[in-house]
Order: sequence, then C-alpha cells, then structure tokens
Amino acid sequence: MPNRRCWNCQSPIGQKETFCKACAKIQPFIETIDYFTCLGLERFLQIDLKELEKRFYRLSRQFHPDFHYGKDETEKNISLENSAFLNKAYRTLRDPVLRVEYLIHLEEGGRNGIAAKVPQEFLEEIFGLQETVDEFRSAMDLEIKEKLSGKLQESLKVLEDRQSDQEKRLFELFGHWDQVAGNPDRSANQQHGSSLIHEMREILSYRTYFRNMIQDIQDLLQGHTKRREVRH
Amino acid sequence: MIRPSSKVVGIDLGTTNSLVAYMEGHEPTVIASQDGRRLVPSVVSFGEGGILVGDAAKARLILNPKQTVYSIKRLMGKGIADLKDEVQLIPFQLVETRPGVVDVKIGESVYTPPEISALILKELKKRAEAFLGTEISQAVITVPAYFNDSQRQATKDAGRIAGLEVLRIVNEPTAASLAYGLQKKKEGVIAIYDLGGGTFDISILKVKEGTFEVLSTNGNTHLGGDDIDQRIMKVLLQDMTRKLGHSLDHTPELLQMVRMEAERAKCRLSFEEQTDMVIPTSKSSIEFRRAMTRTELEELIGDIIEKTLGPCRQALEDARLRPQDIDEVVLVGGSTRIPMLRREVEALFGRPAHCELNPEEVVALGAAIQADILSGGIKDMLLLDVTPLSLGIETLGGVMSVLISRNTTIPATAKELFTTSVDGQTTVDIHVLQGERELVKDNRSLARFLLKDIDPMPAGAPRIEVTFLIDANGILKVMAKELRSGKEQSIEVKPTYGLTEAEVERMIEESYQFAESDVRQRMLIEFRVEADSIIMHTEKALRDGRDLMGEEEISQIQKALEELKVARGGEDHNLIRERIKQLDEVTHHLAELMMERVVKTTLKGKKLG
Repeated sequence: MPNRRCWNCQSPIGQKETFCKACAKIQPFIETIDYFTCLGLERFLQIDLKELEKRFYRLSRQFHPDFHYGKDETEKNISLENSAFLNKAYRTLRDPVLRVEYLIHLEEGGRNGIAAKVPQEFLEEIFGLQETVDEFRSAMDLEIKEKLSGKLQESLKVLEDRQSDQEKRLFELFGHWDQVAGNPDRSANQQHGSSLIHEMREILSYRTYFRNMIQDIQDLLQGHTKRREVRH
Repeated sequence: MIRPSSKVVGIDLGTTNSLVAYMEGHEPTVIASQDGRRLVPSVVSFGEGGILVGDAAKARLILNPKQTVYSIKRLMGKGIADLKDEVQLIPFQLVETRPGVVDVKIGESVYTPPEISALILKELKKRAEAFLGTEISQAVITVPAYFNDSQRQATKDAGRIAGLEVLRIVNEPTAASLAYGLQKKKEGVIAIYDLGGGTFDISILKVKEGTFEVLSTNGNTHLGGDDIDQRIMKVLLQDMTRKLGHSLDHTPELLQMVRMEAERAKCRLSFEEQTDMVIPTSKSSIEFRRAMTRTELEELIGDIIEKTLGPCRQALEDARLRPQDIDEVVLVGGSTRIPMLRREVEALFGRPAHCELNPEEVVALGAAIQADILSGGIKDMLLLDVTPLSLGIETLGGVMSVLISRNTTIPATAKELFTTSVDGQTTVDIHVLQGERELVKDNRSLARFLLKDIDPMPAGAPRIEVTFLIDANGILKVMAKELRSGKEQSIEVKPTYGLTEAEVERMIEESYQFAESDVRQRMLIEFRVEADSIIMHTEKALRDGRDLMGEEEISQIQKALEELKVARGGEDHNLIRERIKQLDEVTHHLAELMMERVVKTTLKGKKLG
C-alpha cells in the first residue's frame, strides 16, 4: 500500500482515516473502500440494524455537507462525495438481500453477476404458472375466471411458503458465513466459504422468480377483487 | 463562504404568501413589516407607477387583473400544456416563448416565473434588511418536497436574480419538522402532511436525538388551496351565468372578484357551517348573492382531498411502515385548516393530527433553523433528506433506466459506464430523466449532456465513467472521466426546461438595471418635493422682499425660478438638483437681506417691549 498523505498539509495519514490528525481537514475515502469498511464493519452478513443506524448517524455528522458549508471548495467536495458514498453504503447494508448481493459481488468480483442458473424443471413450473396467469387475464367468462382465481390463490400460497423457506435458509447461511469469515485461519475455510456463496447465489436467483411471480399474481387477484366489489 | 458579518435568513416562498425568518438567539422568528404584517402576499403588480409587491399588489388584483400576477409558484418549471385545465380561470396572459416553458406576458413585456418570484424575494430581502439593519445576501429557501430538478433550479435562479446567494434549497415538510423538533421536542416517526396554496407534500421522518432522517416523501406539485378556490369559482360562475343571462362577460376583473370571494368563503367555511358569497356586477347595479354550506363545499372538494391520500399511502409503503407505526401526524399549510381534511387525515393515520405551531409560519421557521445550521450556529441537529423522484437515463427503445431511485438519502451518487457505438465517434449524447414511469416519454426530461472531445477510437473502446450526483439541495450535478486516459471529460449541459446559465446572467443584469431605475425614480420624487418647497418659499420671499432689491436682481431670481419649474416638470432628477442649486445662488443675497430685516424687527420689538 502506498503511503497516504493529507491533500492539505501532506502529513502521513492511515488508510482508513477520514480526517487528518495534523490539520483536521476532511480526507476522501481511498479508491478501494467497500461499504463494510466505510461503516467500520467486518464482512459479516448478520448485522444489528440499531448499531448500523447509530454508526450511520455518527458518520453522517462527520461528513454531511451541512457541517462543511463555510469551508473551501476542496473540503466541500470531499464532504459531498463522502456523504454520498456513506448513504449508499447504509442503504445497501441495511437491506439483507442487497447486503448479501453486495457481499457476493465483493467476494467474487464483478465477473459472474449475481444470477445463477436455475434448474430446467423449476423454469417449466414457472412457465406453467405464467400460462394460468395469462389465461386468467384473457378469460371473459366469469365462472372460468372464478375457477382460475381459486387455482391462482392456491399457487400463491405455495409460492409464498417456498419463498419464506428459502429466506429462512438464506438467513441460516448468513450465520454460517459469519462463522467462516470470523475464523482467523482463512485458507482452511476458503472452500467452505465459496460453497456458501454458491448456495446463497442460487437462492437469490430463485428469489427473483418467486418475487416477480408473487407480485404478478397478487396484483392480478387484487384487481379482480376490486372489480368484483365495484360491481356489487 | 459564509460572511460572518451578515445574517443568513430563511425564506418560505409560498404560492399564496411568503415569509422571511431568522434566528434570534436560539429562537427562530418571523420578521414582520413595520406595521406588523408577517405574511407577504405572493402577488406582483406591474403598474404605470412601477412594480408593486405584496399587500400593495394584492390591492390591485381587481383593479388591474391583467397586470397583477398571483400564484406564480404554480408556474415554476411548467409548460402551458401542464396548465390547460385552469388557463381560462387565470386573468393574466400566459405565453410559451420557449417550448415547454410558460411565461407571463404583461403589456409588451414577457417575464419568466423565476423573474417574478425574484421580485417577491427582493421584497422579503428588503424587509429583512430594514429589520436587521444589515445587508442580506444569503438565504435558505424552501420548496415543496416533490419539486423536481427543474423546479428547484428555477427557485435557485430566482434567488440569484434577486441578489441572494441560495445556500440551500430545503424541502418544506422537512423544514417544518425541524421547527417542531427544535421547539416542541418531537421524537419518533413523524408524518408531515403539508397542503399549501398550490402544492401538496407528505413526508415521513424518523426523528431521534437531533437527527432528522426523511424515510420517504411523496406529493403533487399542482394540488392545493387554489384548486379548491377554482371549484367554488366554477360553481359561482355557472350560477351567475344562469341568473344574469349568457351574456355574462368573463372579464379579468370579474374572474378576479369571483376568485377572491371564493377564497374568502372557503376560509369562512372552516369556522362556520354556512356562508354568503356576494359579487358586485358591473352591468346591472344589483349584486349577485349565493349561499354555500360546509356540506356543499365538502361535496365539491372531496376528490381533491382524496387525491392527497394516495401519496400518503405510497409514502407509507415506501418507508415500509403501516399507519399505526406513525407516532405523530403534523399538519402544515393554510389549507389544513379545512375540517374535512383534518378528519380524512386523522382517519387514514388513525390518530389525532397536530398543529401546535402556526401552519402558515412553521416552514419559514424551519428555514431559519437550517440557515443557522449552515452558518455553524446550531451544531447538534442533522438533517438527512431524500430525493423525491427517481433519476435515470434513456436507454435503447425509449426506456428509462433508473440510476438513483426515489427516496434515496441525499447526497446520492451513481456511476455509469458509457462507450461509443461507431468507429471514431468523438461525442456521446446522454439524456437524463426524472420520474417513476417505464417509458422515457412519460417521464420528465431534465437535460441532455454531451460528452465531448473523446479521442477517436474503434467503437466500444472508450470507457467513459459518468458520475451523477444529487447534492443536498436535490439538484443534479454530472461529472465524466475517460477511464483509459484518466482525462476528465468536458460536459455540455442543455437543460430541457428552464433557464440557461446565460439567461440567468442576463436577468441578474436586468435586475440591477431595475434597481437603478428604482433609485432614479426615488431621487426624482425626492428632488421634486424639495423643488416644490423651494419654489413656494422663493415666491413668498419675492412678494415680501420686493422693496429690498433692484429690478435686475428680481428678474434674475424670476428667471432661475422659471427654470426650476420647467425642470421639476421633467424626469431628470439631476437637472432639478442643478436648478435648485442655481436658484439657491441667486437668492442668496435676498435671503441675507430678509434675514437682516427679521433681526432688525426683532430688536425693535425688544426695545418696544
């Protein structure tokens, strides 16, 4: 790591420092900073949201442009950029799904994207559901519509249950990951770590299908009930 | 830089009324005029005697409806197409000199909404300067939270035209929350429901130990008390036509009279169950009278109030909260005095709504607090606001691709990589949009950016990283960098709506000219008054002291007197001053002689006594 120096007084400063000890001026984040480091956290997936908020508020008070208004242009710009980065870090880490997606991105680099392949039979299942949805949309006959609506309601229930199972598994994996990440002997855990990442990626891919399908069916059924209410 | 010697004021630039406030020690305080008025009506009148603002202008709404502009805030950053439902109810003339941007035409002159807003800001600036006894050059100005980038920029431009450096654009509901937080020590999850003269906002905040974090915001920048007035107006005009025959002329005078009576009736119906509206008619000498009950009003405006509830539900959903998660509901804006509105809001949130602080003043107080924070006064309050609308760019097929989604805490940033599609291409065109819809055409076009001076390379080779940054004002900044060379790219901004930098510069210059002609006008009046007094005294002296002077001296004085009278009838204050000086010189001897006589008489009198 090259030595970092204060842009103002040229005193040496540490990699994580955001204020110069000598002249007290605000310093930009280093280029390679990640959201976890920004908020002073290890790369763990289980995060105490209260603690996270506390850190976010504390750092905001250091960086926010409101508290750098009377200063010179360089300081104002750094405060603006640091705040913007901090806001993005907080927004990502407070949401468990965005958090794990970000962690996978950090661990695997940008090369694979988040989406993993899902099995063919799962895709066929989704296509089947999509057909029922389309059928329901185009159905004119009230009786047929009612029947399809019942069928969709059942499917919705199944989808929601499966999604919540998946979510439970995902949060379990969060715990496993944190154990691995917390182990000082990283090389011994590397394989375990990447198999965890693999499984989490899989769940995230399923999740996208589940979420979209659930949303579609919910909207459709809601619209249906609303129209029925209007008619009555 | 903040100049330590000058005060930063907070300004609520409202649709109907505007206010200016400052921090008196630790207490935000509204600055009143010398006769104790706290609100400046947001009305500007262009008359023969010059430009009037505030109460004086409001008095001319009926007398000079075509030259008197009200509710200019509703026109900020808008085009005529946005206003088609109400154009026929507006007594002054609207024109569209640039596509998508509405201007006001008064006689032969065209004024942009920022220019007219600047006149209101100048009035507030003057009021603050008179009160504080110091020059005011910096201000915090509030805007509706749901204002888009163009409307914010237009407000900032108005400040600059008025000679004010706008330190911060603050969202109105957020400002209100600051005032409640400071003065009422409110904590927890707070919903601020703000319905003003022309705009509606709902903001949900988490307030904790001096940190004000906006969780979500929503609204409608064209929904407010004015819409309610228009509903009553339509009923009045219909009934008048029915009663007085179809010949009823919708003259600007009539429209303005009906509008003002509708507004007054609306206010009365918040306190009374029934009210009478009276409109004098010019043709017949009879008055038109119509009664309205509160129930009838509620039927007329039910859908307007309903229109505010949708955004409230959306704001709750975006904050991932249910109504019962809200600890406090605070009402802001004059329109929240309507009992039906209060009922509906309380029903939605399932709890009583508060308005301990004056709903018409609380936003200005909050602006003063924010001004104090920026000046380094208050150090323990932190405000984290959000951007109300998603920001994105146009991608293939006319689809908007979102870069920063709505309700993201600001400052917010997003980076995007761009490249070329043709060999040797040296520019890339980027179209920036704001809104929540899928298709480009359904969203608001903010600007087109042109990345220039790209080194000619094979298609796809340049890698240009563009950083979109929404600052703490909610205003977009764009920067670009060529990643291979690390070279900063120059960007040419073409705002789709609103004013270009050059236009703002020109208006600032013109406003100085206005200021200069204002000064000239005042000098002229002052010298005319002085001339009148000198003419009167000289004529008296000529009568009383005729025996003291020779013919030649008399005719000299008479000539100078005539010359002053001619100059006084003209417009040149310098000439009047010159002639006053001249007359002074030739009457100097006479004045001495007269003084001598007075002294002698007095002495004689004394001897006698």
